[in-house]
Amino acid sequence: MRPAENIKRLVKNARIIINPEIKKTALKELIDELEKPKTIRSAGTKPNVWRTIMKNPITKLTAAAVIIIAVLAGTYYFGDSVNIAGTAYAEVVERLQNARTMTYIVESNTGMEWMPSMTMEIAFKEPGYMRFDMAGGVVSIVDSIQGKGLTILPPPKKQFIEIEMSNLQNDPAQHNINLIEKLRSLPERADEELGTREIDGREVQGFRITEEGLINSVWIDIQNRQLVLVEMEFVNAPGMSGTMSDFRFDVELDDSFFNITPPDGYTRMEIQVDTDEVSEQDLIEFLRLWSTWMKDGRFPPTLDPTKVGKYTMEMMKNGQFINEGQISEQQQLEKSLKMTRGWMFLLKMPADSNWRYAGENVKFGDAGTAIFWYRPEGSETYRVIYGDLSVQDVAQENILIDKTDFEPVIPEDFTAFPTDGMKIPSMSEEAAVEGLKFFAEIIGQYPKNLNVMNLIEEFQVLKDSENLTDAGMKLQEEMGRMQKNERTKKAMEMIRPVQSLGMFYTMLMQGKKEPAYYGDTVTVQDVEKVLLRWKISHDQYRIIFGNLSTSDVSADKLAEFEKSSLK
Amino acid sequence: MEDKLLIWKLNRGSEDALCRIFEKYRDDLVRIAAGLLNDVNAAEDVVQDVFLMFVHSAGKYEIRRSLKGYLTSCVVNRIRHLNRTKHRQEPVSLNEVDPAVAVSDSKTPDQCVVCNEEFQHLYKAMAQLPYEQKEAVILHIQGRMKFKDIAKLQGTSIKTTLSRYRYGLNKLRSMLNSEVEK
Repeated sequence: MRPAENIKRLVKNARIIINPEIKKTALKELIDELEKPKTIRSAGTKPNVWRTIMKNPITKLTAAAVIIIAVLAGTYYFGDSVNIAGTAYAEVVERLQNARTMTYIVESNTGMEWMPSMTMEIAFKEPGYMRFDMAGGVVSIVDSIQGKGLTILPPPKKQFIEIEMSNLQNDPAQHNINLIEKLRSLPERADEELGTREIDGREVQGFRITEEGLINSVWIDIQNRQLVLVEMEFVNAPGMSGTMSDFRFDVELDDSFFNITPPDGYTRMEIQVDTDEVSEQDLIEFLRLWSTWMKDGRFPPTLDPTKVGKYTMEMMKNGQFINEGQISEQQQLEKSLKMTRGWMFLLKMPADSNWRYAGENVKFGDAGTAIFWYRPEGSETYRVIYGDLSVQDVAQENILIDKTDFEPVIPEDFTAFPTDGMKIPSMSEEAAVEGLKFFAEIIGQYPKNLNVMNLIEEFQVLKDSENLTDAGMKLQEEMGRMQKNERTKKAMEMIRPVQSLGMFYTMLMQGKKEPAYYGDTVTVQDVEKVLLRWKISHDQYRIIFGNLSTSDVSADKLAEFEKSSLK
Repeated sequence: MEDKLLIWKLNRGSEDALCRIFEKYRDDLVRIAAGLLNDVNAAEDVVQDVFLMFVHSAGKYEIRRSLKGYLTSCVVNRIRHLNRTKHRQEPVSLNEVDPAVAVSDSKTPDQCVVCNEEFQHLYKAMAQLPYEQKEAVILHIQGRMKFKDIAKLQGTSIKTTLSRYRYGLNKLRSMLNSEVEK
């Protein structure tokens, strides 16, 4: 029986013999392509062209002639920028931001069989008109300037719903323009390049952007710099995903396309989403509604809007909701409105209301358990909602605050972590330099990039790598002799500057300080090479060099340093 | 450092830089593609397509990670696309192709050949692995890619990629051992 190691060795050593003639021809074709003026380079790849040339003696000669002509023509048409892929992305971001009109198709997928995917066509027009064309002919139009909306239900229903949104905050990012604004406000720089792939015969370059629970993979046709596809992945809702495609920018969209006048012959179904009028009763209705959806009649596990989506998806997967069977659109609409109003009550709650939710694991009908309390504005007393959804006014001193409210909830299968308490890593430059110093002194090289996860991964080589510095090897041996708890504690201490480094870099990115990091090429010996730099004022940059010394320089001087770093 | 410099030169139209990149990575990429496709001719086509795309975009790229990793990702993405297309066009997937045919086809003098009998057995066995497992094994062992990067490419968790790798390796082991015992 061969051990696994032998198989690995066999796979590793497997070689194929390359025909040098084929290789030579392949390279010639590439050189030919490189020599072509940029404007006439082939739009896509042409598989097998070079192989055909090789196999056919006549075409081989013709091709050789073409190569010679191309070489003689020798026209270079290369851009000066080394960052055009980056600018292709930046161009797309700019186009999104500046688009007067825009249309695209959204496909969303819940990842659950019983909840089908949904497709809709979205149209947007400055300064704030939107139109959503959904399956079945349902159309929603929003005029965020007037704060009004219209949903049209096609025949045979022939109904329309007018939506009054005048009381919503005038911040587009806060309401249903969000979907479009989110796309229009992609950050200027992507977090990661994803390589190329082919979509509908077009070679596209991918860029990944991660922010606030959403991972966007943006695919751009490098040839004509067109946005082809955006893939969305919702971190807080596992299994849920979506795509945006078929983008068209600045097409003529007549104002009538966004007309919120109800069509003739349709009957009204008026609904007020008047957020000024939401009240405690709306929250109670929401809680009641939720408990009726649950098989065991429990209230929601949380009212934290950033977590409720994730919990809900998990609960759906676990089959904790009852199957309501077929319900009418009217019922569905009423329910979603009740939910919206309940949430609006929470969102509008002032910070000093001290609201608290304690309904997790409480079932509807439990009159003895307070599940929610808050202090209305200007009130001396608290309003307390109980498990039977009754409400009472309670004096502050009578609010039952159990001492366990202040104790952390530790799941049963968790044990205490062997540390003297977690310390929040500093985000200062000094702390970041300490992090870099750690890598230089212990690992012997700087981390490849400063993404926090990557830093932690690179930090972990300390555990078993044989390529550490002497100091690193000594530390590794020392830690190897320690008891598990002691070792963990030591590791926690050591990782702090590493975390600081990652957080400092993240802070620079978020602050748009134009940070650039060259840890994959710069070593401790590179005294004059730029290891990390960021902008500190209009024309000033701060540099951390390879030997960890620092300096503030002008943009021109930085360019010189960076140029010499590349040599 | 060399790669960064090569990209910098290539972006300015340097033929030397192109030749160096080609010489440096082409054979390894063909080897990876051949393992994934079980077809050396197709592998060479795929790698050539990737290089053409790469050259075609000279002046447009800023490679922030390793050039080899980038080119490998492009090769893998292209193979996946081919797999999907082939799957749509033909009822037989690449995994179902007779491995003997896939390997023996590469014996013709004009094409690449597999070094020796042992490796032929290996390629035959690899052809029988589910594609994702084969991808994890080849990218980790031949491509020297980290599991984290493979997971990213496969769009899965590191745990899943690790499982695919282990299952793949175990299957190879059992197939090759049974070959020996025959």
